[in-house]
Amino acid sequence: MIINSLWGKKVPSKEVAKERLQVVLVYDRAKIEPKLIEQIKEDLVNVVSKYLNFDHENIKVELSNEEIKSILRIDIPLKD
Amino acid sequence: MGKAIVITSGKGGVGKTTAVANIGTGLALRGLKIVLVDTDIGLRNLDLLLGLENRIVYNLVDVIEGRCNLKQALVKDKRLNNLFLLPAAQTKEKEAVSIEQMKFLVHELKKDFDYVLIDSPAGIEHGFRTAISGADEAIVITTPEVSSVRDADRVIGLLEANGFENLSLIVNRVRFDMVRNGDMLGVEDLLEILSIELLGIIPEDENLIISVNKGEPIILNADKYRSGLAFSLVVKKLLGEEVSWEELEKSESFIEKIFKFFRG
Ligand SMILES: Nc1ncnc2c1ncn2[C@@H]1O[C@H](COP(=O)(O)OP(=O)(O)OP(=O)(O)O)[C@@H](O)[C@H]1O
Ligand SMILES: [Mg+2]
Repeated sequence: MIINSLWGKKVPSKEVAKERLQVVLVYDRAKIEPKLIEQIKEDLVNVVSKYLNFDHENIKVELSNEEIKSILRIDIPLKD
Repeated sequence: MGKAIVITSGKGGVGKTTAVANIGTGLALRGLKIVLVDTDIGLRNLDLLLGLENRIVYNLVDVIEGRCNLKQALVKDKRLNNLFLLPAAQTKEKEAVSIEQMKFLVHELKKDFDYVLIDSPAGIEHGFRTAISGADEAIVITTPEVSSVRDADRVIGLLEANGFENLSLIVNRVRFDMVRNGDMLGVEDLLEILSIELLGIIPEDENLIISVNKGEPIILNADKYRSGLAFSLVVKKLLGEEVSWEELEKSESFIEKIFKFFRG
């Protein structure tokens, strides 16, 4: 979550609404169920760890809308 | 040739019919020749909002099935003689009108009217596809709630896929006090999320209930009620005139206070 309570201040509910909408619309527009991304992430972890050493916690799989295309971004920071 | 504009939303009950009745009346007040087409077959309401429910003889499906000609089915408004309604059938199925038939009908109406405003049913099925089929432009309407915005996004996608280019957004039932407190999505948020042009902002207004009770579009009282003023700004913007939305937010507190005072 990007939105966290700062110094105990309550987050305006419209910020929560906006963030939730932005996320859900990315999936709606790409016609992909959010759960699918989780599965892709799990599979990736399994495949990549056969060959490379990396921190499983830091892997990032993110769907985003850019211009007219949906883009799936995968970040796998490798260990030194 | 006039212009055909469809008003649509995806989600039901967000204010499509209210918008069509008021924008149509507002355009007619400017002296333009207007016809309002109710495509919500089986659930017609536009007649009630205009106070024309007792004047209907024929409807859209009668025209399509050849029981009358187009002119016979048009109901003239009570107040403005350059405003007409083509009512929906109340007892037919949504499938009674095909996309081809609607296209033909709207094309015929465009020959005689400056604007053809089409009231779409809720949903994204046959009724929606029929309603948008004859239109040159589309107005999407949403409230500032997540579910309504999500549906609006879906509809925007479908409209774009159907070749619509000039899409614009009306945000209905805005409560400026809640927006100020951070408890309602603001208009800027919605424009950013949906990437669409703004056509209008309509405040939440209980006076709309009274106007529907009477069958009198609230834009006829744009000087008294903030939602009436808001619809008159939509009409202005639609006609390409300069509009300032600040006027509206100010009027909310100002006009309302005065009228509440006089009404006691
Ligand atoms: N700005 C507003 N303030 C208060 N009430 C409103 C406002 N706009 C619409 N309403 C009310 O919301 C209800 C639904 O409005 P309307 O019938 O115009 O929606 P609709 O989108 O046409 O619905 P449907 O999808 O069923 O056709 C009505 O009771 C109407 O009076
Ligand atoms: Mg309606």
